[in-house]
Amino acid sequence: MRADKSKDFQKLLRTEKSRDLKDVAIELEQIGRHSDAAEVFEEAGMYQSALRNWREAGEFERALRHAKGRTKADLKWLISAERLMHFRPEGIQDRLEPAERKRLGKAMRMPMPQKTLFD
Amino acid sequence: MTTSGSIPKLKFFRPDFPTAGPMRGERGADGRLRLHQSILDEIENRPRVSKRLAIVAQQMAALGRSTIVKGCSDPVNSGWRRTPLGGHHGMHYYLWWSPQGTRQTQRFRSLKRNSILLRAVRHHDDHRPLNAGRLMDYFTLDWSDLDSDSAPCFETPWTDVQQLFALEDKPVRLVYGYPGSGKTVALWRAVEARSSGNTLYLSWSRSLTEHARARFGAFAPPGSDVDTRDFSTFLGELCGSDVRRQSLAASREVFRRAFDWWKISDHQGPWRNRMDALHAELRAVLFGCAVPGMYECDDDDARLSEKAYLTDGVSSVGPTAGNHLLELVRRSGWRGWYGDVFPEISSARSALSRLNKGHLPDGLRHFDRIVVDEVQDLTLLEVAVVAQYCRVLAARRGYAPWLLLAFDDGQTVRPSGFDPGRLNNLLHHWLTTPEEFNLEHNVRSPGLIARVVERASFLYTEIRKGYRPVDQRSQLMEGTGASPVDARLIYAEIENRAEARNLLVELGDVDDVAIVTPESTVPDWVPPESRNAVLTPEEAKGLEYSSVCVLEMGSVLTRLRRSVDEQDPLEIHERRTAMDRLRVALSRATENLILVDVAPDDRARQLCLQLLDTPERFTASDLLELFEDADYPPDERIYTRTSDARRLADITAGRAWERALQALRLLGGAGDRALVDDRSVQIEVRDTVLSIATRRLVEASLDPAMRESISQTAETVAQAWGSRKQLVAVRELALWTANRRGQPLDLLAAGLALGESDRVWLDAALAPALQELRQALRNCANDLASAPRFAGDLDGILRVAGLMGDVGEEARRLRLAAVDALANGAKFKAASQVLARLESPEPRRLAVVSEGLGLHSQAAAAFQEAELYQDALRNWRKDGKYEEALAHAKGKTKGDLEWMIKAEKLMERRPREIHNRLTVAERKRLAKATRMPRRRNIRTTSGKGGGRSRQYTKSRGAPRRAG
Repeated sequence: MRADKSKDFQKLLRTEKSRDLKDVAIELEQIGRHSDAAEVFEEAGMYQSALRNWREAGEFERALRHAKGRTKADLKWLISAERLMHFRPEGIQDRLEPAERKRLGKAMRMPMPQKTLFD
Repeated sequence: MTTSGSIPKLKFFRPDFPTAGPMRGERGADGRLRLHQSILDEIENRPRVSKRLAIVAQQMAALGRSTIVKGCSDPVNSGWRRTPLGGHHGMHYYLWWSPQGTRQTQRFRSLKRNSILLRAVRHHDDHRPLNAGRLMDYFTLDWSDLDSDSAPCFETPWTDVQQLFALEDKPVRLVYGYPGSGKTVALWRAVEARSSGNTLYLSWSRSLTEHARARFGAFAPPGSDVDTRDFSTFLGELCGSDVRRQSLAASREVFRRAFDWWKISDHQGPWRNRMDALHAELRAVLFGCAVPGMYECDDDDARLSEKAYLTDGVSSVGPTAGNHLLELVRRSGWRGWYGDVFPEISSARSALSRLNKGHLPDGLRHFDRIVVDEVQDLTLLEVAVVAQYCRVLAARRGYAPWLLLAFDDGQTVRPSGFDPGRLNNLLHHWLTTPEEFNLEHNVRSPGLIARVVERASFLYTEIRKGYRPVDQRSQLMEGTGASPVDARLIYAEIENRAEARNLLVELGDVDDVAIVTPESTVPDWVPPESRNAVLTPEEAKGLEYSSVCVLEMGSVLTRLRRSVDEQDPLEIHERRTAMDRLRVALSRATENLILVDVAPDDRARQLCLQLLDTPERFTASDLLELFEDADYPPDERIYTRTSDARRLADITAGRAWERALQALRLLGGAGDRALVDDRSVQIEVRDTVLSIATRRLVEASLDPAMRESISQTAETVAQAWGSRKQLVAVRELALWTANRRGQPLDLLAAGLALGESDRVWLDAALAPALQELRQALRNCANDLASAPRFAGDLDGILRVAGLMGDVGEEARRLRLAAVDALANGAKFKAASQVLARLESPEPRRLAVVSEGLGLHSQAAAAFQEAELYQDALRNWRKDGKYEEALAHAKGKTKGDLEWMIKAEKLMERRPREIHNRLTVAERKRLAKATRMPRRRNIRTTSGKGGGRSRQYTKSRGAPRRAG
């Protein structure tokens, strides 16, 4: 699906060469193709828009290149969190004591749609 | 005698104790007595009366009464007590006194409980009405008024030798003297004369031990702990098991049965018809002298070797009797009956063996002075226990305690084989050469009676020197003979035995008269109903009565004066023992000494008359008239019986109980039914009945009916004249004695609730069972039902159980055992309550209990302190304490913990309000990445009562068991 999208995207770029990249990016963004939009924005040198679209696409690592300040810090933290979770000891959930589970759950609770990271 | 070279002499004794100074703070004796000023005028020129008054006042301060108490029959003077003070210039004087609560003192509302007013010293004929006067005319006597050093009120009650003995600083001292010469008082004085030391006072006699306890309660110097124990209790402490109390008569009976069983009468030889002598020789010499290190011993040191017994001069029965004795012992299988016949000797052997191995119970480690009264009642083995105890103390502390001993080898009515030479030798070789003090004067018996005892002592000259007691010099104090009316000496001649039987029955109901036989058993002709009333010298020793009737003295004197085979050691032995008995029988009277002879021949009559030296001559009817004339008031009759009961409690329990019941009957009933409404008399009867009843319940194997009767009587008395606490204590004692396998906590707690001063009777009753009680307490500590009670006042309970020394340490041991038992039974709350009573709870137990209670952090910290790190890790984790847990974790657990710490730190570091800035996709991705799989292997089951509970297939949560 993604490959198809990429093909369409290349085709669009070839056929719409003459068109302004910005317009293409905006069109892509409007139809919810944030990754494609972000790439076009990057090509068009519109990095803030690229950042926005990378973030809308949930691509922390690519967004990080254009982020500054607080957003950069947010993205860095998200990457760290994901990495930490990725490298968590295998089977830890079976070894935790109830109190440990509770404490960890409490510590990692964030005001998000999901009440805790572990629920 | 062989002495072992392996026993080095002690070189060090406790450094000198300070002599107790004039201002030593408050003592128990303070403030109890109030003295009317008129008494000082009365005694001013009567030094002997003053001296006697000092002794009586000391008795009252300690016991609340004197040893002899008389009442007043005149209703006007009802409530006054009278105590004889002896004579002066041919006059007899009495102290008139009254305790708080009598008719004479009840109007003094400010008079404290237990107070005693000393009102007047009067001539014995003076019975004019006396009122108590005003309280302001009395002044309070404190201990310094009663103490010899500073007594401004009275003549000093001590003789010079008693003072010398008391104040001497030689570490091992012996005091000896005649009956009534004041040996016991000299020992007491020695204890009281020095402060800042702990003293252990020992005597075979329980009544003497109780007397000493009361005495030291009143007069012990501050800073000095005086513990009084009867010798059996002391042996029990050393052995860790109670010594069975058995009277001499019971011991002989068991011995006879054992010999009958073995059917060895053909081998008795010279011992034929001398079973008591054989019993005595075995007890006193073959077993009683078996002291390893002093003599060669056989059979695990239980008895003298044949060589030591026959050829080393330990026994004096000669080779023929000696060989027969050894043969009888061999044939009878002595190990089968030794412990039953001589339980105290068997225990002494065990005690010595334990001491030789350096074993010393905690409660016996802190004494600086050991005081032993009536040493002549101890076998050499028992004395060796005391000496070795001193040596073990010395080895532990670097110095030996002082050792003070009192004896009269002329009163060896108990077969102990006592020999002052052997005693000296033992002390010389095991401790140091003792310093000896001879009390030459009789300060108790009236002069006329003392002279009779002295004349009886001349009989010793009829036996070979080696068999006589030491130092038979005159015992009369200077000037004693100037008091010819201080006692009555009576010779009563009874025509025949029928008349004698009637006389005994009549005398059985007379107050303060003791009937004593100088023989070792009650004569056969004495009727069954009177047999309990006749005392043998063994039973009468240490007792005092106003009047003493000595039965058939003429025949005994005739037998003793008869020429015997001087070469027969057994014969000489028997004569010496008979002389000792005779002297004891004669020295029991304080007013009237009556020799009662039944149909004597001329020789017997002549010998009795010589002994008494021109006595009054009575017939049976004269004698009854003498006692019938006495118009005793009810309170005096009661006091006579209670005194008698207490004195006999150790000796003939049945007779003691009879006398206590007589006192109870004289009292009438409680409330309106009371014939005697004097509160102090009621208390005296109550305490006596409780004391005798509880002793019998503890000691005797009673038939159920008798047990029930005694329990009921004691309960009735406690209910009528005692407190609720006393009633509870009596009931608990009855319950425990009926089933000794039950727990004694209720009994001990009831004793504790009574308080020390109100449970004297209970302490005395429990003395023979202290080790049993303590063992039962140890069992209770391991019992889930009883262990929670160890959170209470265990120190107090242990004191009621007679524990000496470091009560706190024993309480700690028991509490720890209780905690273990409760933790093992998962009773963690109760365990924590017991644990809370420990000053510094042992960390492992604290940890186990805390974990059981779910206090995991507390448990983890305690496990850590106990260096049980895996347990600490488990508990830190159970409380979600990653950081603390990490210190003890390894492997996967360590990885888990490190990861959790990192995760938590990461969360802490998360940018503020990040959640408001994340895009939906970011949130989604993060959530997906951080979602932890649910824990596996969890299943839910229905619990009891329809509730639901979680159960883990792999349990890591169960608390570790203690112990």
